[in-house]
Amino acid sequence: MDELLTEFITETNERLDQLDADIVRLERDPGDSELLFEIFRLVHTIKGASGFLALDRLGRLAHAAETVLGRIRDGRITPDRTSVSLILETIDQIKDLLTEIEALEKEPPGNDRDLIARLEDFAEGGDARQPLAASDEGPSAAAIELDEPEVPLHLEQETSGAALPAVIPGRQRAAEPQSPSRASIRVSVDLLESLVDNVGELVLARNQLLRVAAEQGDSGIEAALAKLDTVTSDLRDGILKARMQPVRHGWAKLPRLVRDLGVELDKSIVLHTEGGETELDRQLLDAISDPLTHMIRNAADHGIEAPAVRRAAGKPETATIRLRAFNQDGRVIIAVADDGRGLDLAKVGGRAVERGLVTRAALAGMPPERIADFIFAPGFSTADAVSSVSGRGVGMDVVRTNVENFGGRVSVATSPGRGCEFSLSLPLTLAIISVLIVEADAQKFAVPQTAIVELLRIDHVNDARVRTIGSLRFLTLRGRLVPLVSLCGLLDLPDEGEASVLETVVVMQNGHSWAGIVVDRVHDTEEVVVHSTPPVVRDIGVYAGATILGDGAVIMILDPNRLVASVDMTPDEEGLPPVEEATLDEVADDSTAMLLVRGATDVPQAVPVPWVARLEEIDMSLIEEVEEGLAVLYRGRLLPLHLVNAGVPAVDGRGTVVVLSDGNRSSGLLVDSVIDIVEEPIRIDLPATRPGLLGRAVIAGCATEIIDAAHYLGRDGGSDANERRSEGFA
Amino acid sequence: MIAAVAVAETGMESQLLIAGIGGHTVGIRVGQVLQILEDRELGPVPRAPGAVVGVFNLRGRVVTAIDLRARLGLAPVAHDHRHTLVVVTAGTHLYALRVDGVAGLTDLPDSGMERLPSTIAPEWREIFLGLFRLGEHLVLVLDLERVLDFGPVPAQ
Repeated sequence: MDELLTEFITETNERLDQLDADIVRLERDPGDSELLFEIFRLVHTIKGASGFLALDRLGRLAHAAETVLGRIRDGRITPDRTSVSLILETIDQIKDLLTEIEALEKEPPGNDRDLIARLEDFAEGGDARQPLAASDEGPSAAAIELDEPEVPLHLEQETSGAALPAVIPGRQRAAEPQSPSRASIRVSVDLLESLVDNVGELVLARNQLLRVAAEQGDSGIEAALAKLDTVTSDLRDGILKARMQPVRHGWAKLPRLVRDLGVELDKSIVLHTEGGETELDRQLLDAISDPLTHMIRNAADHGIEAPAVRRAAGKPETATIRLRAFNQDGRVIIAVADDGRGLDLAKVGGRAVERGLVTRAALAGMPPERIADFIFAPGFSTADAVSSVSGRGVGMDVVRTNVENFGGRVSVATSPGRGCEFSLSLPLTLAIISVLIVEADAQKFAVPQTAIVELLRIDHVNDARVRTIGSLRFLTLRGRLVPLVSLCGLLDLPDEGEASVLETVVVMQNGHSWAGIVVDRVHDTEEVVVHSTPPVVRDIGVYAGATILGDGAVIMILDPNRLVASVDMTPDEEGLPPVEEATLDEVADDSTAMLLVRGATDVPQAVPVPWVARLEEIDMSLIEEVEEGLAVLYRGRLLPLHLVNAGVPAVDGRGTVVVLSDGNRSSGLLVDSVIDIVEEPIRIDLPATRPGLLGRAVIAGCATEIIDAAHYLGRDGGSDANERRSEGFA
Repeated sequence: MIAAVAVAETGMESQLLIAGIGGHTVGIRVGQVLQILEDRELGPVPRAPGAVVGVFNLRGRVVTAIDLRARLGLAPVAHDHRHTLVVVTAGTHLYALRVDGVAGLTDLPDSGMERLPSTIAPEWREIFLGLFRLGEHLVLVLDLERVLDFGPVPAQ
């Protein structure tokens, strides 16, 4: 195709996206004369360029739109819903024409007489119209961030309807004063991609040279190489940075989308955006465009109530969709929140049962988060009526599939009556991250630095910080008990690390959970490029991607989030020692290992370690109230929970549960923190003052309450409350 | 490459890359084939399904290698055998199919493709589109999408 025409189509399309956003903004803030001028100028530019390229239909349309805009500028027409809809319709028509022009390489036959006539009529009669109420609402337009306009291809010719014959070089861009965005140029994506690949090759070649030079020891070569080394690194960083774009570039179309949805659904909706400067890989930005659109459609259609309903609920009639982007734990989070009705979990659960996704019995024991998750099941929809906007039952499952295809995750949080929020968690694919290279079974793996709390060398035999519960090992670190597991174990690799007394532990963090991962060795920290992995590798659930090292070898990048989460769940039931009936005498007998915990009061409490099956971190919001107290879904069963001190647990956040077990029954003690494990002779000084306690003793110099685990397992006094509970929910 | 695919489809003719795996002859449609490589050292991917034999670097891109014998449930080849890697693109990812060796390209009209005999194992039925007779050889035509789709990996 003609290069000039190609450039025109690309630029005009971008300009139209800009126009969409600007006009929607104008509708809400009709007094913004600067914005109006900007819109006028954009349309004028399109008109000029159309004339210049002999695109007659396009020129006529733009001219008619410009006339209406001129009337608005003169204050004779108010930019209300009617006028804005008309202009947006014109823009859509221009877009359609452009698509056809791109395919045919010339204007398609036909004309736009109807639309032009309506525009002309409106321009003539429009001054008599009254402004609509919608334009007076005026929510803060400043909340919407918009792109700087691209360098305008500013042409001053007026369209006469006839083709202008000659191209006058230099005239194209002469009229517009230099704008700051002039400093950027357009580069084809293919070129950028090939540069990235080539730089990768260059880095490898440099590394080979460095090795050869080091072997030969020629100082002259080494000096030149050092320079090459620096330049290569800078070049690589620069090229990779060139791929990153502020996410707002992908958001330009959204204000228009929200506006149109509002009109179509007869709801008043505003879009607020935050964090548009957050940078994301260009490819990812493209890839999330559809999922993002879908999430916004869903919010507008299903989430947000009709204005009357909102009024009745005491909410402002104008609903807000909040779009946020930010960096977190080495990922980019993009969240879409609405202030609508929230998910109807009863309805979602009902649909899930209908569709055979879950049994009614299993549903009863399910935490709200898991119920909400059903909306991502294939073909799932709770919409009562199929609307033209969404609700055809092809929705969130497609979003999830798409997002997971490029290594992202999608989740939903909902609050009845207050709205719901969909979050996309995206990897910085092809971005550079800093990793620590570790080794297990003579294989290297990369661990993102953002997840590493600290590195430790421990003597696993004698180190006082290492504790054992059953066959599980823990490390006491900064007032926490951190589970210790070997990377070999997590990755099913043969573990032959017993040879050395000293172990290297990488303490990783996932939110509030910590885990100590034992590795054979740690190497350097490196800045690496993250490559996404195909579904078959991604679905393993332990890798965040792969990377190419300086010597050309490919190694896997561990996903700390999922790795730490999997540590919490590592089953260890075979390793549990058989539990004897522990009595007051036995406890008092001689040295017994005690787990020291702290509840709501300051008095530390001790649980005899033989009763302790596991320590778990749970999400407090998952705790449910059942007939006989509190419970949480744990490994597919409802685990009764007990508060050792009469205190009310926090509603959200994470809590620690000491899981007690006698091999048949399980029960959980909700505690504030786990302090330590001690092993010393214990003498009960004071008898029990209430059920559930064996008495008080001095442990580690503190008066400590000794917990009667048997009581909480329902083994004393013939209480079989726990069993009844399990039956009720199994 | 794109033009070749178009011709192959509109002309109802498949250009196939003929590869050998454990005494079987397999045809891979060339449309998605990027390159043929000699065997090379692979980076390990612990806990991956057995047929995923590793990852390697191809001009700055990460390629996931799939052993076609393992994928088809065939016994592994002798330890010192030099395999051939057929690099294919699927979506945004690159894969390499590890085969015993490749014999060359051939054009076969789609009309000549026969249905798989009913005696063929159900796992194979999923992976192959059909077969051609080429001399005394039977060429099984690979369904690339299905070969690369391992389904959900069971949660650990």
